[in-house]
Amino acid sequence: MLCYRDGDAGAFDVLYERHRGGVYRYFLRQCRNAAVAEELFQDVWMNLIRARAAYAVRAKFSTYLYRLAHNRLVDHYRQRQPAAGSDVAEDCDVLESVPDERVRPAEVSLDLKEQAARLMTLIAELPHEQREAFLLQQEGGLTIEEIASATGVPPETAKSRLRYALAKLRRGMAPWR
Amino acid sequence: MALNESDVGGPERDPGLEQLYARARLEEPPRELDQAIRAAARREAHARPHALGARLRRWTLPVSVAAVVVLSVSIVTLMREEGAGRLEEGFSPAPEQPVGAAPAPASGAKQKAVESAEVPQPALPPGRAPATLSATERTSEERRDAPVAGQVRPTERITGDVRREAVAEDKKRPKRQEDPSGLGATATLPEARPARALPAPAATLQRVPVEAESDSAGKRDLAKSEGSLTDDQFNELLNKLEKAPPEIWLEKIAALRREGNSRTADELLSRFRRRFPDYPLPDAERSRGH
Repeated sequence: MLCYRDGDAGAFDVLYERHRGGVYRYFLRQCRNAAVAEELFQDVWMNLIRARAAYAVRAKFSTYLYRLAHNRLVDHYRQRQPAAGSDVAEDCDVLESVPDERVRPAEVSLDLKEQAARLMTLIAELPHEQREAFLLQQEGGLTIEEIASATGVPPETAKSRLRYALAKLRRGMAPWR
Repeated sequence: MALNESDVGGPERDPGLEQLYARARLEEPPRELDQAIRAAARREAHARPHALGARLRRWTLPVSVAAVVVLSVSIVTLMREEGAGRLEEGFSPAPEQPVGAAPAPASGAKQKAVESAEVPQPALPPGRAPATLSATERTSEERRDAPVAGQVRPTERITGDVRREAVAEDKKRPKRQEDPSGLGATATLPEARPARALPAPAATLQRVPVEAESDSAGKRDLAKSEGSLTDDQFNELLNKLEKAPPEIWLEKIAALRREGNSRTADELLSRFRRRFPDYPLPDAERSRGH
């Protein structure tokens, strides 16, 4: 990022290639709408480009990038639902009905693809904050402290959110593992 | 999907879940979006390759730190070189310019131009305009007025009358050695006008009195400067008055005042007050503020 700030356009391509998938999926999993995810994704990168002159190394670049993404997402929620707070569920166009994890399809042997689809459903079911913590860890590769920094909460809170998210996913995936 | 506290007590990572999630991470942003963002990034990079504000911001902290370091090192070096005593002297009030001392030498062509405008030319013989001076006369005049190396010319900064006096003094001096080679101004001899000695910086600086020094010593110095009693004389007087009654002390003080040695009288009075603190002072001394 420092190279790009100093005028090296090629450095941006390296950064973009490294983080484009993670940021895109972060938005896609959060709002579950491809069009909205693309809009937010573009906004984040354009903000990064515009703010490059003021960039200073205060944390890992990925933490900085996902903080921008988090802020953009919060802005998006506020624009759409000023009175409803940060409840993301109403923002989503597609809300799949989540099958009850307690009903085990005993005779059905699910392959990996189906397991992955089940996992995606469980992730979509998570509360917004827990889902965000999980996605930041998986897509951004952030540590507990970095998740806390990106979302503006204490590390203990981030750790708690992540633990709850993993526990719910483990519990939801238990019948299929 | 309620969870117990024991359910969330595990580690913050689950390799099985992570592996499964990694397989599901297939979504990518559209290629068109990628191209648009990359193009915008390139445009921005080429439009403002070296933003001045960003450069200044980047250098603010290093430059500030460097300036502080340089300043600190300079001060420390100066203190080492000058010494604490010299610094102490530096805070003393500016000494008065000694009477007749040379002012600071003028510097710069502008200053010289002003001086030449202020200083009138020496009196010429009647009937002769300045333009009628011959070349040799002009050379002689210039040589006379030309500053000698290392010489301070106070008359250049004073009034025209003083300047005329200086010129008159120059004329009274023995005639300078003529240049046998005829080289003109370059052959001006330095000894033709001896340089006036400047007061040494140490002589112009006055030491600030320090409280550690005894009060009486300072007063004796003042007394000496007025031509009153010397240290020895004063000590001798004190020895004489050592066993004398207070009346004798007061008589001596009064005598000193009559003689005009008020500093010594004051000093003696202070000794008297220390020696006879309860003895009433005469009206003359009380009216002086004692």
